[in-house]
Amino acid sequence: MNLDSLTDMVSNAVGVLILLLLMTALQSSNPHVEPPLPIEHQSGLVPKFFYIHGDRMQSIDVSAAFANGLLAASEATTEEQNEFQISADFIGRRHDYLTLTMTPIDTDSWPAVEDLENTDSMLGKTADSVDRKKELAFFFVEDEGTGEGFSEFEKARQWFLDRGTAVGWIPVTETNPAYLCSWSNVAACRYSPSHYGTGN
Amino acid sequence: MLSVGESRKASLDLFPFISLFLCVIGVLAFLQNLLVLGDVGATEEDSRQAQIFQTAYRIEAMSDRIVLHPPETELPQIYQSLNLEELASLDTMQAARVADIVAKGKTLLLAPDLDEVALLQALSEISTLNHLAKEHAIEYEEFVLLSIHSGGSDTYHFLRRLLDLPAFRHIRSGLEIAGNDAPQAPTQ
Repeated sequence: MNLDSLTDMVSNAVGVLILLLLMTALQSSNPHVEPPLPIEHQSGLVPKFFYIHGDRMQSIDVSAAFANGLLAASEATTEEQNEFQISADFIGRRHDYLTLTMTPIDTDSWPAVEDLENTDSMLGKTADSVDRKKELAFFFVEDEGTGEGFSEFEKARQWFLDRGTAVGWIPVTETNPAYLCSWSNVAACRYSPSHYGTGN
Repeated sequence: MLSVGESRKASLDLFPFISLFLCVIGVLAFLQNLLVLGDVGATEEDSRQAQIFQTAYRIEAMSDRIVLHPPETELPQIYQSLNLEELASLDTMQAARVADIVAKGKTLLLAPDLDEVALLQALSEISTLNHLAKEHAIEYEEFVLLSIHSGGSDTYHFLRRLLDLPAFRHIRSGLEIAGNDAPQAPTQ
């Protein structure tokens, strides 16, 4: 029996299959997806705070900041109770028991943003420990007027986004400093992500 | 000349071919199913898909001025759905927006006095449009995209406080770092 027509049809079908496979592979390796709009959105992710000053970056331990703040407030004299050192990196100003604003100090000793890549550094370890399914990286980015803080933030933001971690941020200045608070009904105390991760 | 037995044998020989052909079609159908399922997985991220309908009203925040950039959307669906009264108000609004788009943004200087009325008007327009779109079940939503220039962070906080007012709290907002192509201050 002549099998030419059968071979012809089978090979055509196999060709179509290979073409489909190639298309699927290309689509998955190079997805043409527009980046999501940077809209602030509600999420159940817990913020892990970072502060960027120029090319320097530091993580903020919120519970330690509040604990140190309360301790310092209890030990300080009446006139000193509103402003005190809350860590080696920040001076805090207390507005009420649940709100602190912070100003960075001794930023020259802070790690550089590039240290994110170094998992042996404290900053690298802290950043690496952010759980993308439960936490977001929230940045206070100091606007010093030169744009350096913004461009360094973009690098740090990309570092987290590459790892699937959602990112939120807010620019800060002397008149509008970084704040830590937990009033759920106050808009300024809602730390929302504006860049999606893959964990949420 | 073929006998009856030989002709029956020839027709039976086609079964392996049909079997193979059906197998191939089956594999193709399976692959197609996989592709469709992949698409369904992508649509699961509904909040991201919802962004398709969201249009940015960009507001640039600079140290000395605010620049309003209305979206260049023609809103044909909204026009088709509105009554005459709603159309009249939308027409006026769109005419003003077109003028701002042609002028590459409406600049509001912070000093000596900011034209707060123009700013509040812009936010009210967004609010009205979103309300109309929602009322007529049109998939369209404008959000404020605050584009921050270096040195414009205090202006950003001023705008943020405006957006937190009860009248505008429902307007979604986002923030981005502005590019270096900052528009020049208008000559007055």
